[in-house]
Amino acid sequence: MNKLHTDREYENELRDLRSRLAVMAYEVEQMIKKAVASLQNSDAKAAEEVILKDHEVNRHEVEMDALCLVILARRQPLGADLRFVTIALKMVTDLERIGDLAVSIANRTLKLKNMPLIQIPPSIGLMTKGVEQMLQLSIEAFLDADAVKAESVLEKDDQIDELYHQLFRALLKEMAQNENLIEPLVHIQSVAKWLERIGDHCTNLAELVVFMVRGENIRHMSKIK
Amino acid sequence: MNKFEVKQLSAWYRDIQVLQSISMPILEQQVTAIIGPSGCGKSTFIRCLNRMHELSEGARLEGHVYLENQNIYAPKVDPVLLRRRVGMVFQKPNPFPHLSILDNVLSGLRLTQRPRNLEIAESALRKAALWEEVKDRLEKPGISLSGGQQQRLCIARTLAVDPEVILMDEPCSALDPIATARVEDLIHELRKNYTIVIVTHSMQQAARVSNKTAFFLSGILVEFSDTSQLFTSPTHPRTEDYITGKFG
Repeated sequence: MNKLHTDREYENELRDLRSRLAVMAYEVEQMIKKAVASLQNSDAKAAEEVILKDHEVNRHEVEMDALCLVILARRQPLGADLRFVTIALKMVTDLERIGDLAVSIANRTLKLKNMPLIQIPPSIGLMTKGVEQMLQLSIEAFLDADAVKAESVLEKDDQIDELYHQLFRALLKEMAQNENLIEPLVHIQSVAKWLERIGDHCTNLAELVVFMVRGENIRHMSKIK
Repeated sequence: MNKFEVKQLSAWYRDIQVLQSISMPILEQQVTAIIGPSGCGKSTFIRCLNRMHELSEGARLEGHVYLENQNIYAPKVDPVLLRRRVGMVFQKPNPFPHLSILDNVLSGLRLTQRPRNLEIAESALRKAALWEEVKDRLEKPGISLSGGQQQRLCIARTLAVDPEVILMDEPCSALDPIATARVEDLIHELRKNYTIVIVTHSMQQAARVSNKTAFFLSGILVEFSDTSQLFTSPTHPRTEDYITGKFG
């Protein structure tokens, strides 16, 4: 989007939408980071902050939905603008879901507080770093209109899936060895599953960016062209 | 199937070239929209399709326009008969002010000295979705109708001579949104039986009514593709700039 729109107000509306999306993505990324840190450090206060932050993310979603509808109704965008506004509507939904998953992780921190102390597996940290990177790359790809960068996110999702499957098997083994730890380990398994789901949402974001840049819908395709 | 095949068509008004080697088909029983900024050659292009361009002083052209494989610029082609096959509806409704609604519809036939044929008039008015609104006042002046009705009267007048192609030069630019919606609804109906080429400044209108869209810029055909493709993922950056308003 190097060239500016002749209508400057329209240009500003699109810029506003883009920057609000970036802010929302940043806040959601911080929620993931803080939620997992709260789990690793048994920090109930941090977990509660994540839960509170979700209201703000929900508000962003409602406001951006409204902004997209106003742009669609008033500007009737076409071409790249049409793709931008329609994917913004979808990206907002994925970001909001990621926020909800971070809240679910924070809730597990609060539940685990009253249970036997367990070591948080290192894979949880690895998965967290991985999905944070996926989210950052998706948003950078969106802001830079870079389809190649977006495609690199799709490859990373396979790594997250693999980490999840390895951890799942390890947790099952541990549960079989120590019945007293089944309940807290089930919670850890849930956290891993939600991180894996966050990876899926980041994949959605990246696929949307590819569509925005190239006008090519790559969702549900087994291979990237 | 192609109704028209335009090949390397260039056109001039005196020494000003307004079309530069345009080649494109016009598909039968489809609506083709021509879009582009003012002065890009849209209207000149459709005026070349029924040889109205040559009626302007200093106008000339090069290239070929085939209507069902027949070169419409061949010496043996009678332009008057061609214009019966390829009718035109203009930007501003232009019913003959001194004629009744009925005589307006039949004016094209009267010019060819046919008798007043009520059946043809009714059929044309029905096809133009105007019959129910005017059937009880056929002898009233054409200009007594509203702007939108006058435009549909002009469409009925075009249909009365039984054309194969209807050229529309910004047919809704002087109409309110409701009258525009009626004309657009009519275009959807007419395309079942006619080939339609519409010049419009409204990209939303082109997106609503057409199957194919051609983007003209400075007399050059920049892009010609399916309407749904052109308005969501155009191929050419200049088309992208135009439809997103980053132009000029």
